[in-house]
Amino acid sequence: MATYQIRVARSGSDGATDSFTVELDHRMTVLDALFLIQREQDPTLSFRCSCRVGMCGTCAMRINWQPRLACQTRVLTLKADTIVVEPLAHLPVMKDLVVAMDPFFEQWKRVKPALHPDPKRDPKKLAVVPPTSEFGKQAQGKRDCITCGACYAACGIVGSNEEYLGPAAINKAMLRLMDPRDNAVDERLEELNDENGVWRCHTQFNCVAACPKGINLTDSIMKMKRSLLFPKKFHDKRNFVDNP
Amino acid sequence: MTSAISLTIRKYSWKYAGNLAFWIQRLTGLGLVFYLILHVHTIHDLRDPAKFDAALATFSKPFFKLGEIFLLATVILHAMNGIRLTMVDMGVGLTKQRQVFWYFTIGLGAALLIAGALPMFIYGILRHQP
Repeated sequence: MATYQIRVARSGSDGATDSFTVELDHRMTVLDALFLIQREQDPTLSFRCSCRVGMCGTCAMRINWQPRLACQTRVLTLKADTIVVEPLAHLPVMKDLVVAMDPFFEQWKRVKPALHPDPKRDPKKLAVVPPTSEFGKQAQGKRDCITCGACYAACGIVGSNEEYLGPAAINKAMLRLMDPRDNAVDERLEELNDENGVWRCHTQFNCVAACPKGINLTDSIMKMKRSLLFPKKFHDKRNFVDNP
Repeated sequence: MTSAISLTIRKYSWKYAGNLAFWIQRLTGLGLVFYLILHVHTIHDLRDPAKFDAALATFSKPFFKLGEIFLLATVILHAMNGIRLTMVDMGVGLTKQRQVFWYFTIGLGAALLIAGALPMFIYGILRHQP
């Protein structure tokens, strides 16, 4: 057990932070610390969480100025006895550490994240996407996004331009574009080929550093930039699938 | 208590190398634009031979040589980072972007700076004859 000082940003007119001193075991996470504060010191402290195993993305917040999942951040790994906890940046704060995800999902919706299958395909016939196919290879390590918004909060471009699609939406668009079953190719490419689409990315790699699932989002953005530059190559690649 | 400064340094040192590179590129770019304007303005004023000689004598002073070394460092940083960015755009070294930044941009850049700045320092500053 060790003593930690947790500085939590509180919403309200003064925008002040509250300091709490808590005794934590090294194996405990920041989310455990927040629960401890809520139960024993200040029941009005608000934060969001759900699965507690890093698969829902609900508890994303800024911990020591980096967007992280509170449930996946053990206090020991922070190598600091003062832990500053703030709500995610670039998103409107509802209360304390709770943010409204609307701006993030507004951009997410722009890329048509759902599958738009080819109407000519037999809907009863299951598509087979082998891991060795182009899509199978591309999707590996890119489909783990839990829409926590950490990349959106870390992105410096989102901070200066809220019209920018953001890394998560572009990654989703890339996954759908590489999917041989999908048919909304041109609509998505049009959305990406915009001054606030992929071209706005300045390759700061903040999204890669922040992503709790280790997705190389900048790689997805760069792939999309190249596919817009070389559309024939992109379509050839897309159509080259050993898919029935 | 861990100080805010040490936490901030930790934040920008390794994990956020791309962000650091972005700001280096912006600031060196702005610096070079400012220098270019100053440079063209100075050259423009030197149409008189006597004035030109006087200006060259001023520019060979150790203070200006130090400035030249600083200029070389800015150019190297901007150029090496530019090459790194081109590589990123082509998809080269995307998964190793931190290594590319620290070893290629900063490491190789520092080696180039030493190679270029050493003669300037020895002949322009140490052995400078007024």
